[in-house]
Parts: sequence; structure tokens; C-alpha cells
Amino acid sequence: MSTTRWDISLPVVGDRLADRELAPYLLVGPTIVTVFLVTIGPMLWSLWLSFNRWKPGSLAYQEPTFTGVDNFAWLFTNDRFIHSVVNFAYYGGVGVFIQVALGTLLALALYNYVENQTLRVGLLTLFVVPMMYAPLVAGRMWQLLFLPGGGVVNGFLGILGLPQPSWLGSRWLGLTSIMVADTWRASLSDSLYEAAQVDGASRWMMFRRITLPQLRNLIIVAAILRFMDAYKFFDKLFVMTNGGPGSTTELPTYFTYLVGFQNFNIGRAAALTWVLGLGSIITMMLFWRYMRTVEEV
Amino acid sequence: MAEVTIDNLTKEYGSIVATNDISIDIDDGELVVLVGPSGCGKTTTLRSIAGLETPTSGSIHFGDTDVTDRAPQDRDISMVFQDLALYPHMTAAENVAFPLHADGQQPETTVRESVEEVARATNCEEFLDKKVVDLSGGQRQRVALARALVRKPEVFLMDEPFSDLDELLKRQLRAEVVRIQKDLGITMVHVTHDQEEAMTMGDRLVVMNDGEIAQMGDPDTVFNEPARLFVATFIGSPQINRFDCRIAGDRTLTDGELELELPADAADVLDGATGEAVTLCIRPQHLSWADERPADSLAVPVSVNVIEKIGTEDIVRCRTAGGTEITGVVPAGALSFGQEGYLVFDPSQLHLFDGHDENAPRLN
Repeated sequence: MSTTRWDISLPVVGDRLADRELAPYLLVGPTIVTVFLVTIGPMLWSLWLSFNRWKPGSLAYQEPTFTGVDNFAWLFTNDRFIHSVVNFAYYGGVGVFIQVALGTLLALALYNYVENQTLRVGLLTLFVVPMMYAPLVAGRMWQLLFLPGGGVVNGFLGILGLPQPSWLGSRWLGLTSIMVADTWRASLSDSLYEAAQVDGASRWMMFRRITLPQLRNLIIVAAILRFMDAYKFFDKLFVMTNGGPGSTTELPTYFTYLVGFQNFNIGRAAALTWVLGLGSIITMMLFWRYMRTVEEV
Repeated sequence: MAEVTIDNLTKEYGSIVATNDISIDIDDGELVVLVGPSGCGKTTTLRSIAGLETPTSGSIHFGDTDVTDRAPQDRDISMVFQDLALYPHMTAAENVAFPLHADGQQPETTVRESVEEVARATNCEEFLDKKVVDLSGGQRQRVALARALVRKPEVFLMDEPFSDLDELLKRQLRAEVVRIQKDLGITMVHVTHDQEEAMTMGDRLVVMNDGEIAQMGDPDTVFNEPARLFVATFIGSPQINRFDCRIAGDRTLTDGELELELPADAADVLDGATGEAVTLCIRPQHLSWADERPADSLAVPVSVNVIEKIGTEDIVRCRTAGGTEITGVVPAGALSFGQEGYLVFDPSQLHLFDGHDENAPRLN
């Protein structure tokens, strides 16, 4: 790092070279210490705990006791955990896909068919309003709408003789993708579409070869944001179903909560957290790679 | 290829009239340049030919086919846009192949052959596999040309595609476009605000102003016999000298300061009464320098105010005693700053217009 740069940007700590070299560390030091104490430290501790059996409140394992990979072995043979991962694959995979796809299409439709600028922004705002609700409030409201047997939406579907799916978990149409797609489309030059028209392209070809490839990176971002939301989908589940009936709608995060804070099986909960965290990172990386290859037309 | 017939084309945006009753017949294989200042309606005319604008009234025919209400996709045109509008996420080759893929009639091997053939003609073989973002301005320009040429359309349209390029590249590409156009016998409509570009490229110029056609004709005619005062002042570089005069006698015009005695044959057209408005124009190239007042010539006493070097010639901006600026072109180094003498008018190159406004028609 060049010293001249510090000369310009820093209030002088001292004139000696030693001071100048020390100054940057002094300035970022408190942040680094804080980050270590509240994030990195606990993470490492939980990694260590995941190889221990520790049940505060029980007689046998008052203190952490090293048990090797026992926690992980328990985890991967636990039906309830496997089931919760399957649930998550459904919500996080199918749900996010549907949300992002619908959100993108809705935004494009909004852009292409609503020419009045004020109306368009107004509609966009309406779509996004639910994002501002406190998650618990939104959870209760959706519960009222989608309650199996008695919920408004399923009631309607029942009247129409349609199947009544379990809606809980799918959040309103991937709002993130709407915003992202709309912002993007508004910034894209019209002359690309005019060029495509002149080149004789059909609507489908314009969508497939111009709109979609250009949207790709933003779709990735939207999908990752939605995936993160789905992963953290804990509060609404807690409010709406408590994981039930039985454990049928349980998600991994909720299961982790039960293991950690109801059974106080800290070691197992730590193992769960690490498996889930690494799992999501790997999933996202694979998804990202896949999307990068898909985009090349 | 086809001829293009534009009949009484009018396009209004609300209360703004972009083009007013424009009619142009473009021959098969002709290169017509629409030229004029910003907002003159040239781009609107071009976009109407493309089908990107729907005319308020009037019609457009390709050959015998009325295409006025057809979508751009159904017109068999191609167009190079001002911002080129290359598809940024594709390679050069994919851009060029796009119109053929849109057509969907040809097998992939034929598409590749066509792309390579047109790439050879436009000198973009070397960077066909590069992405658009990795190309230089001139390379993008060539790709845009190739994409427009690949389908061998009925009508080829260009909307100021050279405006962002440096001078050298611009000249080079202009020449290439004209060569390709002649080689392939393409019907081409080119839009530009650059009168020099219009002069060098066009078989025929359509000079537009305020949504109307001021003059249509080959470059020589437009340059030597401007039909309206606007055309005289718009075409030609350096700009034509203009004297807003009134008739002061049988052969005499005055602009308030100068008494301009016209040669007999030029004065013939002045059949108006004393005091009537007439504009006299002469191009800087048609003025010559004399140290002494020549006998029997129209000449104005001036002193040299600014000298602009352009290589073989100097553009000299001179002033009369009363402050009127007159521009002449003289051999390089012939004059020095502050030098006094006479600018002599070539009597065969005078342009007279009936009035002072830009629509004033030519008198002689």
C-alpha cells in the first residue's frame, strides 16, 4: 500500500513511518476484533462442537465430550432430517424456480404491455408492498388465505372442484425477481428490439435470443436471493404450522431449532448447521455454474 | 432488390409534424442520401420505410407491393442503426447469422457459408468469433454492416451509422459501403446530417428541412444549383457567403454596406422593383484574391482577419470596412494576416434567391 495515499486520506496519527504503517491496522482493528468475536469465533466453536456430544441440562453430557463423527452419522440416518431436506428441496427448488420465472414474466409483461409510465410504477409498487410486511404478520395473513379446509383460496379451489395444494411456503411470486427484471428491462435499449424486428425475428425469438440471455445474470441474482429467503424460511413456518401436521412441513432450519433449543442437543444442532450451510453453498455454486453454461446461446 | 416509392408521407407526433407530405421515388439499385439538420424529418422518413414508424398518412411501396401497414419483419429490409444495436451477448458471427436464423429457412451449413461470405466482403473475418464487447468501434461498424447485408434484402437502410467514428475510419467505411452497394446493386437509403458524407456517397441527395424536401438531385446539381436558400447555406464547406440585399438599381444590389454591381446576364433575373429583398450567395471557392481593384468585375475591398490552414489551400476569413465577414479559399500561403486587397466574385457562380428566408427559391 502506497504511503502517499495514506498521506492524503488520513488525519495524521504521527509522522514516523512506524506510525503510518500501524495506522491502518489501528483503524480497522476494532472491526476485525468485533467480527471475530461475534461471527468467526462462534463459527469455529460450533465447528468444534459438532464433533462433540453436549446436552446442557442432561446428567450425562453436562460438558462437551468429543465423540468424533457421531453427530453426523446420527444426522444422515435420521428420517426426520432427510424428510426436512426433501421439503426444502421442494420449497427452495421448485418454489424458487416458479417464483423467479413468474416474477420475470410478470415484470416483462408489465414493461411490454403497460405503456403508461405512472400506471406501471403504481402496479409495480403494489406488487412489492407485501415485502414490507413484518414476516409474522405476512405469515398469519397467508395462513388465513391458504388454511387447508377453511382458507379463502383453497375454499375457492374446492368450490371449483380443483385440488387444494399445500401452499404454505410459497411466497407471493418472487417479488425480488419482479423488481430486478423490471429495472433491467427499463434500462435496455429499444434499438436492440428494433434491430431484431428488422432482422425478421419473431416475438419468441426476441425473447429467447435477446431478452433471456441479457436477463441471465440478474435471474441468477434473483434466484440466489430467493433461495436465501427460502433457506431462512423459519419465522413464517413457525407461525403457520409449527412444522406440522406432525413433522410433514418441517424444514431443516426448523428441525435444527428443535434439536438445538428444545432438546438442547447443542452438538447435534451444530453438526446440522454446518451440513446445511455447506450444502447451500455447494448448491448455489453448482447452480451458478450451470446457469453460466446455459446462457451461452 | 426493388425500387421504393414514398407517396405523400406525413408523420405527426401529437402537434409536431415530423414529415410533411414527403414523396420520393427511389430507383432499383440507387443510393439515396437523406440529409438535413437535426429534426428535419430524415430519420422519421427512414424509420417509416423500415416499418418502425406508422405514417399518419401516405403510403410506401416496394416495387408494386404496398408495405405501408406491414411490420418490419414482413418487409425484407435491413438496417444499420445509429447506435448499431449489435446484440451485446453474442459473438460477431452470431450477430451476422441472426437474420438468417430468424428466417429459419436455411440449414446451419448454408448459414455459416453466408456469414463467411459476407464477412469477407466487409473485412470482418478476423474477429468473427469475438464477442461484440471486445470489438473496436470500426470493427463493430463492419459487423453491423455484415449483419445488414447477409440476408440480401430488398432495401438497405442506414441511420447515421458513421457519426461516432474518427475521420479516417469514417472515410474508409463510406468508400467501402459505396463499393459494396455498387457491387451488389443494392437499393440503399442512407441518412446523415453530414453534408460532406452526403455529397461523397449519394447517387442522389434529398435535402430536408423542417419536415419537407428542400431539394432532390444529384450531388453536382445540389451543390452548383441549390434550389432554395436553405440548400445553398446547408451544403458546401466552408459555408457559402451570403449577402441579404435589396434591389437598388437595374444591376445593383445593396446589403446596407456594400454596393454589389451584378454582371449583365445575372442581373437579367432581377425583374423585381427597387427595394425588393434578394439574397446573393457565392461559395468561398469561387472568390479570388486581387491586390488592386480589377476593372469590370464584381469585387469587394477587404482585409484578412483569420487564416485557416487545410493543407493545399488556406481558408481566409476576411472583413470589409463595415465588418461584414466574407470567406474565401486561396492557395496555401498566398495571403498573410491583415493584408488588404479585393475578393473578386466569379460571375458565373453567383446564386440569387428571391427573399431572405430559408425557403426563398432560386432566381437564376
